[in-house]
Amino acid sequence: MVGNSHLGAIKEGANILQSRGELKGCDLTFFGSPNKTMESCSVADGIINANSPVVLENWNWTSGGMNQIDLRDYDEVVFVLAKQALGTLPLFAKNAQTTNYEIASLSQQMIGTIIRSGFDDWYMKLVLATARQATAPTISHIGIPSKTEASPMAKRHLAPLQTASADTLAKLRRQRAIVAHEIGKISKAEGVRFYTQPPETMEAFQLFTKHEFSTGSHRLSQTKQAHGDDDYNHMNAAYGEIVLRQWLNGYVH
Amino acid sequence: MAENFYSHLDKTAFWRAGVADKSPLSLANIYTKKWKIKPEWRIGTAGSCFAQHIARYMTKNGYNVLDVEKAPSGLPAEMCQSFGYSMYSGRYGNIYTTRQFRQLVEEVFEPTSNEVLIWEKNGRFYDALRPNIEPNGFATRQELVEARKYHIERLRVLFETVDMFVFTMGLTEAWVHKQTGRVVPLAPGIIAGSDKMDDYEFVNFNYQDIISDFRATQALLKANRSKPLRFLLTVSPVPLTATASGTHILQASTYSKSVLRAAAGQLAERSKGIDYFPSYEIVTNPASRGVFFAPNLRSVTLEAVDVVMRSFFAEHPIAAQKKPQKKKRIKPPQDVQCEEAMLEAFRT
Repeated sequence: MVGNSHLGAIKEGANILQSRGELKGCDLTFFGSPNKTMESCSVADGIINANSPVVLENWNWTSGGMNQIDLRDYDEVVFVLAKQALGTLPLFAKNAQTTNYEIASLSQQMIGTIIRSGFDDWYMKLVLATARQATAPTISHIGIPSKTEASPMAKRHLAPLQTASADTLAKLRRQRAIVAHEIGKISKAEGVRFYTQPPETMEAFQLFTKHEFSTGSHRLSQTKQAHGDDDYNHMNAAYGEIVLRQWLNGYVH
Repeated sequence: MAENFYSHLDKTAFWRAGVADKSPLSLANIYTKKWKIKPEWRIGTAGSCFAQHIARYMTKNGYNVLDVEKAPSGLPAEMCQSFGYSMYSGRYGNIYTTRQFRQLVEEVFEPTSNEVLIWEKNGRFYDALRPNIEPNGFATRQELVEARKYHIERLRVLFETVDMFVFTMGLTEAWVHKQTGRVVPLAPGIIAGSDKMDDYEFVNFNYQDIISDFRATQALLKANRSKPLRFLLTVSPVPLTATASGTHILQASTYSKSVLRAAAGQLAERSKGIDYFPSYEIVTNPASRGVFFAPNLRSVTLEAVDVVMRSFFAEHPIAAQKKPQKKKRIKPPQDVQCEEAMLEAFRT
């Protein structure tokens, strides 16, 4: 499991499943380093290298003493980095006259372009580079959760949906189906399994994370500090548990 | 010399003093505004390729230029124009003729049961009224029809909200769908629709056509709005790429620009709400000896656009900005989307 601060929730979820004996024999190793620190990483000769003292230090304590990721040592390498698919925001367009948002009109081609441009970011480049180097392990991408519904940004986006017409909601569903289709194409071409955020962790419109999953979340740190109440980005152990269950069940695009 | 009607005229009334002896880079008093553009006015932009420059410069200089169809977040900036975004106030692409502009306003306020005009090529679908807004066409007819429906919904917001429209007249030549009378911005067969060529016929709009189309547009907008709407008209200095009129391209281009210039002048002269900005004259000024044109003698250089916009902002100073704007790079004129230029590829 390779990721940034969002790996904390996955680790906490793993602890719960481990205590219940529900990890189905999976032996998980965590390589975490917060924010964008892993931008320094590179992949060569089947090994993900940290290339930075900060990442080395973080990997060392999160993995229990390891300082590189040798792909040959694993059956699967799972990335908890970067948004899933194209994220939520491209599905919306800002109304020029108000602060409201509405469902954008996106063609299949446009959605594909947006998704592919997301793969130009360093974190997805790392995922793809790993997939190209990996001969044995499966390379998967769980990604990071969407913000919670309680965030000001989510509220602005969700508000117009409360009164949206059936046509608008149908458009949203269609566009999401296109997103899934496009991700499926990339998955096939690049050899990466992309997981969606579990539906039960998301609000009714399946765009943002239910706020309950951000309460009681902890930093990815040795002191396990709690995130602030106004942290709408990081999720808790319950979220990590659901995500891991989905992963264990092989729920993919 | 005895006094005559010319004795006390301003220097700018004389060719030598107004043009021949002046630097083409700074023609004083070539434009006097008819009214002040208030900072709170919402400005719409549309027209032929050259209008893209005006829209960009006005936005950069703090004017409230509307964009009712913003590019979705995540779409790379360099791809926005390919998808018809960030060019004008709506995702309508280039509107070369006043007839096109009229029919767009009619489609918003007086919709008919006409089917969407669709061209097909290699299994992809193109909106014939804006064929260049999806780089490789839409995947399905349904996707195209829905995109057009959304576009028209957004344009209603634009046309109801806008306080001033900057419209650049580009061409008189167009292709008309015989059955419905709708004009398309580009001849069928250039981007797509080669199997539909028999459905279209050539038209070269005359002075009266342009005047009546523009006035009909104004009337329709007035009937559907609750506040006045001003127009700032310009004529694109970019010559025609090709003509289907049967005459020499130089003659056809001169005819087209002359008709447009005359129509714009007449419209501005007869209406307090219409101003004319002489970008055409600034670029085609003989004193510039052609340096405002790129080596192809058609594209307008970045320097020329700067000169044009300096004249504009001399009369309409940079609007007060509510908050500091991020420094935006003004893209060179070669970056404007101008599908009409594709006609060059058909020269044999």
